[in-house]
Amino acid sequence: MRKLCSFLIVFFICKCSCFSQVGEDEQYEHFDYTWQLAPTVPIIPGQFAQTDAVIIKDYETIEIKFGKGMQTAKPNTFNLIHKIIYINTDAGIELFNTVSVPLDKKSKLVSIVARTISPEGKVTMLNLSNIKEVDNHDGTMEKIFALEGLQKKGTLEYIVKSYEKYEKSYTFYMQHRVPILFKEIEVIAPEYIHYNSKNYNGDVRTFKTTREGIEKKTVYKNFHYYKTLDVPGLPFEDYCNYKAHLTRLEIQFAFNYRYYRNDVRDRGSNQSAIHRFMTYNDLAESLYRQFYEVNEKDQAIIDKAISETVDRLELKQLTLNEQIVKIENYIKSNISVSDELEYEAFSPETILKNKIAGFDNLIHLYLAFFKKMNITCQLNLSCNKKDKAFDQKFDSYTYTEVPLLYFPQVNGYLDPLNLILRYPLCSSNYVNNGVYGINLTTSKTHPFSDYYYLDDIIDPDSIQHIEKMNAVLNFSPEMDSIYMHISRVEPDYFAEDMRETLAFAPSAEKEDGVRDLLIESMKDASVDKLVITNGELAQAEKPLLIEADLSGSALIEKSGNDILLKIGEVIGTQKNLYQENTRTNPIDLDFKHKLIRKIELNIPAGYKISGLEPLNKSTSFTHQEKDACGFRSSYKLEGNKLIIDIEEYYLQTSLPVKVYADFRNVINAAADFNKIAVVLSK
Amino acid sequence: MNRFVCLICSSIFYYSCFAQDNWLSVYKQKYPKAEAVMLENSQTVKISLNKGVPAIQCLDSVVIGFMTNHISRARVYQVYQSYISSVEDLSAYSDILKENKPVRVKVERFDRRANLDRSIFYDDTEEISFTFPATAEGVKSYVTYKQNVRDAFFIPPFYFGSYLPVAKSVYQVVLPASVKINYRLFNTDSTKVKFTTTSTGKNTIYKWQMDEVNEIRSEDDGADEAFYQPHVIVTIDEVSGEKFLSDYNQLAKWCSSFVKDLNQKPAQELQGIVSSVTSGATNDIDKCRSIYKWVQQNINYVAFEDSIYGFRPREAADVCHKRYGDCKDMASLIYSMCRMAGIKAYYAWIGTSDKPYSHFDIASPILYNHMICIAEVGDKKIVLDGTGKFSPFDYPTPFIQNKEALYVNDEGKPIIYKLPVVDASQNYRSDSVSITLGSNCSLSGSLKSTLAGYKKMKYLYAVKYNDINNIRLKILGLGNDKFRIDSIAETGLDDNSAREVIDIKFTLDDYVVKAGEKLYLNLNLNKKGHEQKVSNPSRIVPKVMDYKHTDKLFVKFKIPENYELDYLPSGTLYADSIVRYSIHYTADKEYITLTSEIEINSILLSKENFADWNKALSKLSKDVSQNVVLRPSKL
Repeated sequence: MRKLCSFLIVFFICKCSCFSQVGEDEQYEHFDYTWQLAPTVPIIPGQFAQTDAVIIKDYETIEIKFGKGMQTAKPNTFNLIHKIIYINTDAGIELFNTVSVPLDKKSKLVSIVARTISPEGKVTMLNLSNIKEVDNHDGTMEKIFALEGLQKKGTLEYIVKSYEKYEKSYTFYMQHRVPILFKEIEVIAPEYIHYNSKNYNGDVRTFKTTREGIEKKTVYKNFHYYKTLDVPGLPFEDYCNYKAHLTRLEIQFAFNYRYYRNDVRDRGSNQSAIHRFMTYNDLAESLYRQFYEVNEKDQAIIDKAISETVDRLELKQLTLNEQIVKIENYIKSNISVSDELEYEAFSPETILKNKIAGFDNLIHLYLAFFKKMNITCQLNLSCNKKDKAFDQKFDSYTYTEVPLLYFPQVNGYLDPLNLILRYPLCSSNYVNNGVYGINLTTSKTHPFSDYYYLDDIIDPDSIQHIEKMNAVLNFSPEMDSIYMHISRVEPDYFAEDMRETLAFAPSAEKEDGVRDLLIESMKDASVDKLVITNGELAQAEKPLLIEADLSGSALIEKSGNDILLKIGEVIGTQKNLYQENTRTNPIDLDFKHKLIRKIELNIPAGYKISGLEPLNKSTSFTHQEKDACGFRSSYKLEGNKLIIDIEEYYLQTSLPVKVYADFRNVINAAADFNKIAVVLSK
Repeated sequence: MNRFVCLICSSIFYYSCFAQDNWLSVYKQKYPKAEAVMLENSQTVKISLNKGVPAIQCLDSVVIGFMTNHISRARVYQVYQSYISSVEDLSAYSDILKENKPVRVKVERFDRRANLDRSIFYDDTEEISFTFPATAEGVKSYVTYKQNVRDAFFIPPFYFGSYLPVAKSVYQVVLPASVKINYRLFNTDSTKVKFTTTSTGKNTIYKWQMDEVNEIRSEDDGADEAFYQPHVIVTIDEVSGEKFLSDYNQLAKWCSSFVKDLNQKPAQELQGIVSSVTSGATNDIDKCRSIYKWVQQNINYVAFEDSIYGFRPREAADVCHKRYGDCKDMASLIYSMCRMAGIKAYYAWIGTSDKPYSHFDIASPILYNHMICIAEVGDKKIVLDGTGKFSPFDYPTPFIQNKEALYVNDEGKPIIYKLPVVDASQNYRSDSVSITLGSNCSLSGSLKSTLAGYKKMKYLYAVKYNDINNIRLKILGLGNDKFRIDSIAETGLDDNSAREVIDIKFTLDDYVVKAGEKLYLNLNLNKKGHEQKVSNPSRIVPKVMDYKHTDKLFVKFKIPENYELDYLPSGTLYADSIVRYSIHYTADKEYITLTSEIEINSILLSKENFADWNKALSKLSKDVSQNVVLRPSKL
């Protein structure tokens, strides 16, 4: 079952659990569901005969029962998973021969049965004593098992039944890397409960029926069906947010025709009983109460606890931006974040003393600092664009997994859980994705009404994400090695991994990330001198500056008296798209960026240089009448200097398949440049 | 407690916390890039007798001195427990100053989680992790805990070093007079380890101390830390005059206890499979070959390291029924199948390339992390490792080459068998290439690539588990990444022991350099398989090489019309104890040829080899960087 990030767990527990536990012994529609007694040999359509495996059937049901009570922490849904998978190759076995069933601590496993069917039709049942339990000690556990008797050209089948905690939002991926012949999601709920759903990246047949329930003749049920047939496997491709392009279904609990909402009733509303539940307004209300509502007594305690730190940081004389940066730097440099520390009351004194906080309390701490400094800070929530694009037209809590902090006065984001990046940057996983935010301004006048906004996290134009490299090459007197002085400017995302290594690797390995980058320019180089500037985490808002002297011979090839200098390799190994496979997925890039490189070669006296023509390259394209991507390189000879200027840019991060050929040309132009060698001869 | 005593206690506490013995300034100067130093790393092993049976308890104590206010990885500490040793009385805290008064801040939350990785499907090892609170420059944090070791054969090794620089590392073994121990130091300079024995009443204390131990540094292709980190292994030699674990004979008895009742029941299904699989075999070696092939094709590696089953193999019939198992299970299955076929087969315990030990250094279960089957056919010993899904028959898996296996023969005699290292000549890739120059200086031609031994095995792992076309390009492609396969034919894919022969028609763009009227062509088309130099001049971590191998290349280039040879590189020969290569060129009016052979003759490079290794690779790099030059023909 899809899990929301722990950040919101507190919310969901506190939030209106408007359903009560139903006795586990009551009959659910699929409680007695079972497989075919005599399994049949599947017929695999010809077009899927060569794939590693084929999912014959993937059937999931969620049956929800509600009572009259309003509060329960016990599970109240009955879930069923039934899978039949045909295995074709060793890779197919490797992909499917083990199964992990994730369970919440509040889940209760009803049964697991599994069997394999050999090509000859022999059935091997799973020995239930071989199912192991892994307690993750974070409120979740897994039941894991390996399929017994699994063979190539055979089939595996398993059914898992469990009682689960009710979730208000579900995400189902209806596609896999291998083909699926039949996939169906069935949600069974009382007739007065209705769901909204939306599918992405492909068709999902959706229909609903209503009929009398089995166990109570007077209760009718809604059967929501979501079905796909013969879905081809989605191939992995470069420059693609793979998961986000799988056929996907979002389901959100939406209407309860039976009950008024408490708050509606309390306010004496005469609205009809048909009222949306689990709206973004509900979420905003809950988050506001959790993170912003502080009584005066608690506020006084918080103020006292942080005032000493606020004074020590000398924040008051700083500009707004400087205050944000300094508070962020202080917290990220000093407070360790433990994902295990949830559900504990917020105590800034304890956090500042122990320097440890859980996710929720870390947000509390940020907000306390900003409140103390009268900085408006709005809690925003987004999701990882590599998993799914935020859909502003379909409200689902599965889009609100990751907390971000937004400052409306300066229109900038702070990514509280990313230790490396600094305001106004948040992880590129969220940039150019949608965001949900609490509208604090509205809340003051109209509590819990129109209390949120939806927006896009736009990469600020002020940040160009330009990586620069300047390399000066000289031959050794013997003409058998190259001395290279290299200067690099690595801003924001470009420096993320190197900064992490500089900050957290063992002391002897801190510079390894930088060294690895440098020797991309000359594979056998020894780094003779290295100066790193702005390497501290507290300097992360500035670009990482690298100055280095390298020496090596990997760029040189000889041919009698002539010397080949593989000058294209100075820009480092480039990804390529040389293979002419048909592109399936759109093109995704993490963030818009430019790469500006300059290479200077001092031509030794007495040598002339040739083979320069390939250094002139230019390819680019536009999309929607805006510059999209391009690669341009040119050279000039000035005295004894060969000077090469290279600019590569990617200004749009999502491009359709139809421009793939253009995109491929740009990527391959850089890869082609990488292969250029020039010739020096006397 | 009266106020005076309180004052003294408080003062001692204060002194211990903050009269810092100058450690902060000393170690900031000594380790300027380190965020923290392990001021003390100590373990005391208490051996006692419980009804004559030795019992083991380890008391661990670590003190970390922080040298920065900022968050660092040193803040997080992990302790592990498993079926073998359980952790109890875990306590951790930091001593800080608050308003000039000493305050002890305890760790209140210890997070436990399963310690699973990709290679082991289920492992009962549990990680207990916690964050030291309130750390800052000058603050000391402490952790203490006990480990109750289930079996006295499993006294854990003690490593003097750590992930931080260590100021003082102390290992003590406290034992009663009726117990004698063996010990062996590894990777230590004896002058740096202070060793003492003292007697206190009924007990003897063995103590090893090492000061100022540098932090562990990981390296690319680095050997396990057991190869280079100073450590000591202790085993119990005698208990009350009786041999306990004095040498490999006792170790063999202990190992045998896990298999003595194994595979005693009739297994009809398995017997049927053995009869079927070996029906065409005319001799015992062929029977072994058939059995091994059946296991490779039908049993998948899935490891459950669960309690005693971390040591005890499962019944062969059960493994056959389930069609999966770990190394022990596969050894059990192969053993049973061989025995059913009338072949002398044995369970064998062995350490992989992560284990640097010999049975003649010290006898301990520490030596082992793997299990195989060894069959004896006449004088020949056949190594049958079920985890080698694509290993050729009669090859050890690469990671157990040169390792000692222990097995007990039918006469009850423990045998130490050192596995061979497969010769470089058996693990080869041999490419025969014929090329011509096309338009725009592209090359086209044919490649016949033959793979054998571990080279073939590695190829099969890649193509069986990856997108087959792209992975073939990555492995087989020559020249540069613009190598394009126009057609391909392949034999040997379904036979691990046969040579793989791949015939390819290809095109290669942007490889020939044209400058002025001349063409430059490097006929050394396959540089991908070349090894890497050791780049860190102060590296001490041995480099793991997997297996010895040979790369052969023959290239025949047709001189294009209107061109003639301008320059032909001279060939070269090189040989040292690890690297040997030859490169030879010929030319006539029609063709230029290159014949090269590069042989790597080591599976593990120690720091003593690094200089020669780098020298050889530098020379090789230059020698394969020679280009043929063509010029337009004179009319």
